[in-house]
Amino acid sequence: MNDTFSKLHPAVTFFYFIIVLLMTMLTMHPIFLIIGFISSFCYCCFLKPWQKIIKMICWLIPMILFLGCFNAFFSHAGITMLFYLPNGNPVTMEAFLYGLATATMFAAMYMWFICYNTVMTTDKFLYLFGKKLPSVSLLLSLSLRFIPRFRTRICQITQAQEQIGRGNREGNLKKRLQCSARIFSIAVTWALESGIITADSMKSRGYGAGKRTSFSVYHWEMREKMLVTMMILLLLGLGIAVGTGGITVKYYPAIVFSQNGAMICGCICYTVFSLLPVIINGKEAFVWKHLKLDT
Amino acid sequence: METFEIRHLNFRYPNGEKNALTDISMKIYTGQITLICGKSGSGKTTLLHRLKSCLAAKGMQSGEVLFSGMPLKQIPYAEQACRIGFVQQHPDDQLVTDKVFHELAFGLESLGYDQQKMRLRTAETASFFGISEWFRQDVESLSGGYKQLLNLASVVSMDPEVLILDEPTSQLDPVAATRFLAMIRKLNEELGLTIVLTEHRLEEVLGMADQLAILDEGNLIAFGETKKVIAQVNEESVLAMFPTSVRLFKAAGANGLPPLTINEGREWLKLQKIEQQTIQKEKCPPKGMPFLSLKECHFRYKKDGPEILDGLSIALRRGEIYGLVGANGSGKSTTLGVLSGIYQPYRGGIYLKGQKIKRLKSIKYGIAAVPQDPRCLFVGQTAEADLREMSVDESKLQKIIELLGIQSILKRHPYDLSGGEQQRLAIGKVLLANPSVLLLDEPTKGMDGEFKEVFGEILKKMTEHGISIFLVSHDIEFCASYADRCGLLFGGRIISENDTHLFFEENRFYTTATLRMCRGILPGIVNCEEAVKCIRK
Amino acid sequence: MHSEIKKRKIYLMVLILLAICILLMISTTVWENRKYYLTSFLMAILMMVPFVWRFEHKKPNVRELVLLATMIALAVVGRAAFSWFPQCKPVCAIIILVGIALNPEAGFIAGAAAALISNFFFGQGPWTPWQMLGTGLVGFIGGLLFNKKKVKLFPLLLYGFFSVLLIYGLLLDTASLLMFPSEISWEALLAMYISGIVFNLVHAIATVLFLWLLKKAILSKLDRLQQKYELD
Repeated sequence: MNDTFSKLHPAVTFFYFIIVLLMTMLTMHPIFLIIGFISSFCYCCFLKPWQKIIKMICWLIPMILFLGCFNAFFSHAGITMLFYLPNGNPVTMEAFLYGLATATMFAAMYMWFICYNTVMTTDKFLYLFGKKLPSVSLLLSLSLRFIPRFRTRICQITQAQEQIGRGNREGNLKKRLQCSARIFSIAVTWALESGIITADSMKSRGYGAGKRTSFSVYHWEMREKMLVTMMILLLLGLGIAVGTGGITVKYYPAIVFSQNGAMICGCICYTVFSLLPVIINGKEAFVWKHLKLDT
Repeated sequence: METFEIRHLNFRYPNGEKNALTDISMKIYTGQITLICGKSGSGKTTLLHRLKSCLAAKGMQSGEVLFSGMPLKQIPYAEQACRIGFVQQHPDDQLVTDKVFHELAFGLESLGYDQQKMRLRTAETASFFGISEWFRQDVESLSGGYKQLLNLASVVSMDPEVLILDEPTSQLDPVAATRFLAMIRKLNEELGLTIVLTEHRLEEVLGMADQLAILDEGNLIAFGETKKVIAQVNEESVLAMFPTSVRLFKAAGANGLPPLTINEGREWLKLQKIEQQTIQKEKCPPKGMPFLSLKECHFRYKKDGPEILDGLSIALRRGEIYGLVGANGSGKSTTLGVLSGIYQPYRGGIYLKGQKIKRLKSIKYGIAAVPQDPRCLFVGQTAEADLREMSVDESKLQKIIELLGIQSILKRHPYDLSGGEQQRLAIGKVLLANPSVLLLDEPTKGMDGEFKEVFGEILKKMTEHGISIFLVSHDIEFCASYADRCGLLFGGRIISENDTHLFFEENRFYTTATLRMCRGILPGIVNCEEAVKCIRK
Repeated sequence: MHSEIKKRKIYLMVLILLAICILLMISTTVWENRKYYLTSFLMAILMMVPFVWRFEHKKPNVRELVLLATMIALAVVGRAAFSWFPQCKPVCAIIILVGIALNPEAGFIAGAAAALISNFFFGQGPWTPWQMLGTGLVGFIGGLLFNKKKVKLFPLLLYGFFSVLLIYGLLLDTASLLMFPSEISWEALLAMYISGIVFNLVHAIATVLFLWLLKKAILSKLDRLQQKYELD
């Protein structure tokens, strides 16, 4: 999938996700929840192949319903009785809806994190912290470099050990455990010894010679500036809406949520904000379609 | 002008009994390629490490090293990092970060370059090396050869004046090695970089070296212009490392400047008057029932994947050495995997002593593989401990120690051994599991010429004990000298197979340097020893 | 050496105080619904700050950095050697050993980094900071409690068991309760701990097993390497 939003400067992407996740976590206002749910779902659809989306829906929807019912059976606050349980406790509309709302929030969070994990790749994450925390980010980068290497290495060692009858795939539990520990131990020795060469290679390229700078392959262009300005404006709008009581909501005893102008203003800002990636991708698609027509 | 001037350099490691380097004086001129050669353990690496302060091990040093006329010690760390580039032997271990672009920028980041300059340098370097396509890839997705090229590129991106390369191609396959050396040459010719390199595979580098230094046990036994140095040298043990053309030239007792390449060698050989000799065939390779064989095996890693083995048939007889050669991706490692029971072919038969078996279980059926990297086997603190954990049978242990000639290394840590010694120790461990078939994957990788001879003799001795050896190698010369039969693998099946001599005689390109040199002049000559005999007569 | 430990204690105290202040301040004023989760989430991140700051300011030398990265990577992929052994990760065991063999801070950094990195592969989520803090603390406290010169096996195993059960397990259970969309009460917390106990027990036992299997392999090798290269 050719996602334009992922090609933006990582700072923009990271900022976006922080805000979206915060908003999702903080509000229980039903309309905001629905907006969050739908926009995270839209972006997910854009990023992931449809087979995965279907799989996701298949367990998200039942989970939402289950959590709704779960809350309804265990929380009995609220004034609109639906029916009574055999043990005499009432099942209320409010409790059910509250459960549903929290589940929707949970689902939206889950989907935002799916998007986050697809878009914020390791190099972007490291870049963000590379400037302020050069040692930590180098430590992470080194570890990330070592991981695939050690993994193949452990496979090689396992195979080699199997060849001399010391494999960890057969024998009794004790033998298998011991052989596994042996394999791991060989990997430790090998990793530590080859680390010496890595360290030499770092020294030889001047590590520690002075203050480290951080290389980036990302560019801060007009597009990023405009987007950030727009995001801040939308956030301001949202902030005003929150400040003037646009997102207040109460589930117990009866459901009361704000339905004023502030809410509408907040809703609009929130919708635009959380749909930003989809909008950007849509615009891109439109431009390409026209380019094709022109040529 | 000299880039480096070494004056009477002596060096001894803290726990060393004798000097690792003794009274070395040499001048490395700007813009030249200086090749340092010598057996393993002759002090090549120690010498190279002396040329960059941050890599120089602690120890007693006397004499001095000047870099552009200044004592090396006085040049600050950051300046050395930038001006002296160093590439080591193992491609994998030198890479520091997880992305290609980050690796290219690593040195620049360390030195605190600004963003604009780093972008320019990395972009320039990537373009020069032709690696811009994978600028954003993970380093792990590259093959060993490209990893080493990336190591070189990330040093070159710091704009060094001199490149020091410590056996940079010893872990690479021939194609990657050629590509790497071509890049070295390009750097030298187009950017005027001074290059100091050590190598033990001299066929390709000798032709491009301006200066040659020969080290032996820490002594500089010859130094100067390449051809002149070779003309001076006469010691048999030193000559063993040189390519065929030089060895033949020396064997003929010729004077003057020696031929360095195959082409020059042919020119020279044509001028010689040699009587047609018939070479006596060596003892016939063992015939008889195959011990282990594959019949029309098909294998692929995934159901939808490409066919890796496509009707492979191969037979290994008792007590023979079989050499399997072929280019990268022809399925050599997979063949080994099938023979050792790691992979199961989805069609075709596996026969052990003539009986069809369903699935090979390596050690149960007496088949043992020595991994390409012997370090996969070492657990002990000493070589001896490592051998002992395989078997408690003292007499067997002694027999194997003697067979492999590893008495002298028993007390050392396995990781402190040289590549060849590690290989022998690994074989020792595997032999203690009593195999009747030994599978070897690139056993001569990283071994020097003299060591290979020792190693080949050990293999021959093992066959006398009835062990069959199956080796997969890029080292054609080694196969030609020691294998009884050879096969060429291409596209997952054996394209040609014959007794070694006949096998290499038939091949036009995929054959030994000696044969390529002697073709049409000395017919029927395959390896260097034969040619030497022929010429001596 | 003594002042070092004192310093560490002061750091720890200051950061806990700081976090509690912020927790109280914000949760009583601004947020209504998800206040517990968000404040505690931020608290978890805050608690890591001093360690990261110290690591960054110490300017680790090359060998230390490579050594630490090696151990982190081994902790993350260590499972590959035990892949036949269901559901058990050697991460905590390795991190405890790193904390002991190097120093407590290294233990914390290694633990936090190992958790962060394994989530790069399995997906980041709201649980990431908690896991980082949990694993980090297990390594840190392990480093404080044991002297690398004489580590006795039994106390080590005991520590491994209880640290995973009480520090890591309880921390993550609390976090998942906060994450879980329901009301927070002592009963709910207790229910969460009880429901998590089986999983935590398995994890703790596995850690003990791994500590027992790997103690010698890791400690002796790290020690040898440190001696060889005069680290620390």
